[in-house]
Parts: sequence; structure tokens; C-alpha cells
Amino acid sequence: MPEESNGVGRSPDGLPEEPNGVGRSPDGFCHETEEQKGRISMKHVKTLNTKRLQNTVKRGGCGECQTSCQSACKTSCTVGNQSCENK
Amino acid sequence: MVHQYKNNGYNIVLDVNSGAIHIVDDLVYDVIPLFETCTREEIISRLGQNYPEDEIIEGYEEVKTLVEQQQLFTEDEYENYMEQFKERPTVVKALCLHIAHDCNLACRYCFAQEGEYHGRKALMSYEAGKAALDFLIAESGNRRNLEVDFFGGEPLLNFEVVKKLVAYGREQEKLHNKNFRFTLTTNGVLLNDEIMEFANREMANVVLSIDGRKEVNDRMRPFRKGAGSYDLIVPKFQKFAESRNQEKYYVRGTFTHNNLDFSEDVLHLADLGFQQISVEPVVAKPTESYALQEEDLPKLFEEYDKLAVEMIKRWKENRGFHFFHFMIDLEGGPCVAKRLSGCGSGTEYLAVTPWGDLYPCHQFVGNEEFLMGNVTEGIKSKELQKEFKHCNVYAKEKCRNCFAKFYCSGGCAANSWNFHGSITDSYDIGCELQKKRIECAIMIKAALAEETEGTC
Repeated sequence: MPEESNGVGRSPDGLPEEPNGVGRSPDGFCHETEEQKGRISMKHVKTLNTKRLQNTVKRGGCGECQTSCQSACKTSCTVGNQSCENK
Repeated sequence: MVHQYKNNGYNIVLDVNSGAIHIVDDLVYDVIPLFETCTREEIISRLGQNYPEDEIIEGYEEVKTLVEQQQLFTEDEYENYMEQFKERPTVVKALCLHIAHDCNLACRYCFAQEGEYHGRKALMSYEAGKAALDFLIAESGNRRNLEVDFFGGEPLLNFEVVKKLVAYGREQEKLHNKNFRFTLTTNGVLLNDEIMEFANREMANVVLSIDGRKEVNDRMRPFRKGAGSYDLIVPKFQKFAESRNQEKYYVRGTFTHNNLDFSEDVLHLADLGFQQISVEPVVAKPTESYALQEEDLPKLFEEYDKLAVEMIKRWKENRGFHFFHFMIDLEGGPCVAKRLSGCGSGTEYLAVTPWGDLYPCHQFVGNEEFLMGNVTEGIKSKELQKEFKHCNVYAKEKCRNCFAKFYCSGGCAANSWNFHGSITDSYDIGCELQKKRIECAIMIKAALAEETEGTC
């Protein structure tokens, strides 16, 4: 099946991608191309990410990432927006 | 587990266990809830009134492909992993140093009781701070990145000690192959050029407290004699943010029952030129006049929706800004171990009082039940440490069937304790707001992905 480009390869601020083709916006988020993600073209579905959390079990946790309350929250727990330091 | 919802014209489907997120059309949105319990023919029959048969078959096949690709209806493989996870060796990697139990503001919602944490005014001595850094290095095992937040009260009331501790940390990190990431949380009153220059050199992040619009900020963040703090702090924060190239900082506010239209405060901060913004719901006893109530939720949801739409608009106009609670890293986010363990309070993250006592986090400071030990003798309450170590999303009944469990990781233990007297419960209003924020954050990703479609 042909690869589809639904265009998450560019940072939200429109900055060009890094030379290796992986775009990174100022917030540090990663924006891989469709090809890199191995996405399947579908008529009714667009997949935003193909990450499988299960795969990260095998790697265990290196623990080098930021503690969530040290970033900005201090009164809530916001873990999902932390970035992995060991991508 | 699958969570599907509609927001801002998008049909969004989240496969909770894999983390996969799909944007689907109305047909597939209707097929998915039937997929696991109905045959293909039953689905055709049930949806036949709304969609042509060949389209339904097409949609059905696409759902089936997602299932085969393990991107939909994936199994929860983590619960079995929990036993092993609970026995993990823990290290301490982050300290919240209460460098000053005193404050030059008298914020009405302060969980630290105007900086004093239900106790006495005190400034941390250099010796106590040094012992805290030594404790952190000694307890950090092979973790290289160590985080130290200078917190209060107001840490700039004790800035000389902050400077000396940073110098000590820089010296020690070389000797022990560590990397200290210092951060500072300040109300800005004492901020000056010297402090900014120091922070720009040494602080990996700074958190600048301001609530938003002048009247909102000044109502809740006055000086002790009642005058507002807005006019003094805004120019300093603007200068500070610019001097940090608009990164590695947050202006951080709190919204309360008094400003349910908090999206206006976020946008006000953005209009002041700030690009890194965090505005959070207050956590207070329900009896406080400013506490958020359950009946406030519909209005607050509306505000998050409004904010999300405006943020998309601004990004498209190249004047976007980051809102901490809408940031979500769909591809490079935390691993499962992190998502299960949450904030790490009581295990890898501890708070240190000015006199060196250890608590599970800054919010427990002053509650003697949670005194864990001190920086010279280490953790003395192993039971307490174990209790926090075993606190995870599977230990919380309310989290089991919640789609947000791998994003909030079970929520804040202190909030749970404050509302229910247990760290394995959850603060219900906080949960509802957290879920809404996650929904909005994903929708923003969908909208921005669509915006750049075909351009890359």
C-alpha cells in the first residue's frame, strides 16, 4: 500500500525539519514523517502516532527523565507530557 | 481499552494500552463501539440506515486492520509487570529544597500557609543545603541527571544560600559524574538583573508565579499589607523571559472559583509576550470561597475548549505559545515505567525543609504523619517509603478503567490524601479536569497535523 502523508512532519510553528528528516518543534516534540512511522494509508482513518507503549516495557525505565513536579506543576500530576531522555 | 470522543469537529479514538491515536470519520466512529461485540453483518444491519453498505464494509475492514496492527483494542500487558515493578530498586533523583519558609507575598490560596507550612518561619542554612545535596548524590545510584528545585515560600529571600549551594553542586557533580539540573520557583518580587544573570547561567528552568490579568492576580497574590503584585512583577518577568530566549521557563498561575474564565488569563499572559505558560486549577478545601466546585466543571471544560481553539488559531498565525497542560508528546513521551510510577513522590522525589527534614513531596511538608527522615540520617520511615513505592495506577481503583491513567499516572498523591485520607484514592475534580486537558491536547495535535497536511 502506498505511504500517505498526512503532514505531521513539520513543527507546529512551521520550522523546517532537521536534516535527518525528524522535525522537532521548540517544545522538543518529535515529528517523524509518515514513511518513518510505517503508517498505512486508510480512507476513513488517520493515525496520529504509531507508538506502542508496550515496546517501552522491554527497555525498562532508565529514570533519567525529568520529575514532573520539577517542571511547572507542583499541584497536579502531569506525567504524559514529559519527554523521554532515552529515545 | 478504547476511548473515543468528539472535539472541535474531530472524531478522536485513543487506544489506551498502546497509546495509538486515530482520527476517524463518522462511519468508523460508529463502527468502533460495535466492533468487539457484533459480527460484520450485525454492524452492517445496525448502521445501514446511516451509511451505504460498501462504505460500512470498507470502514469495518480498516478497523480490523488497526486491530491486526495492534493499534486498536490492544491488551493491557502491564498489570503482570506490576509485581516486578513494585520490587524495583529505587533511588532518589530529585529534591525540592525549601530554601525559605517565609514569603514576601500573602497569596490567599497558598498551600504553604504564606510560606510557613503550618510551622515556623525559617531559612535553610548553607550547611543544611549542603547535606541535602550530599544526601541526593549518595542516594542517586547510577542516575546521572539530578534535579534540585529551589522552592519556598520565596527562595529569593535566601538567595545567597542558593548561590552557594549551586557552586557546591557544580563542584560535586564533577567529582561524582553527576549533572545537576537546578530550577527556581519565584514570585518575582526580589528579582533583579544579578539574579536573572545568575539564573540564566545556572538554572535549567525557572517557574515564575503570576495568575494572569491584573485584577485576578492582585486579588489572590497580594503583598502582606494588601497591595497587588502585578505591576511590580510583570516587567521583570517579561525581561527575564526574553533574556532566556523565551525558553526554559514557565509563567505559572493558579485559577480559582473567582476566575472560572481562566482562558482569558492564559491569553493575557500570551499577549504579554510569554511563550511558556502554565495555569493550573487551585487545590483547596471545598469550604474555601475560592475552591473549585463540581458545578464549576462544565464552565471549566468550556474554557479549556475555548483555549485549545484559540491556541490552534495562534499557531497557524505563527504566534503560538505553549500551554503546559496541553503539551503531550505522542511519539517520544515517557516509557511505561515512568507512566506507572507517576511523579515519584516519596521515592525518587523528596522535599527538604529548611532544617533538613524529608517529606514525600512539597505538599506533605508540615504534616508530621509524613515525616520520612532527614538529610543527615537518610530515610528512616521505610514503611512510608514502601507505601509510596507501591502507589501506582493499578493500586488505585478509580484509575483502573480510566482512559487517562497513562497520562496522569494516577494523579497527585497529596491531593488524594487531602481529599480522601489515602494516597491511593484520587481527587475527583482534578481527575475530570485532567481528562479534559488530555482530550484537548490530543485534539490540538490532530488539528496541527491536518494544518500541515501535504506540505511536508
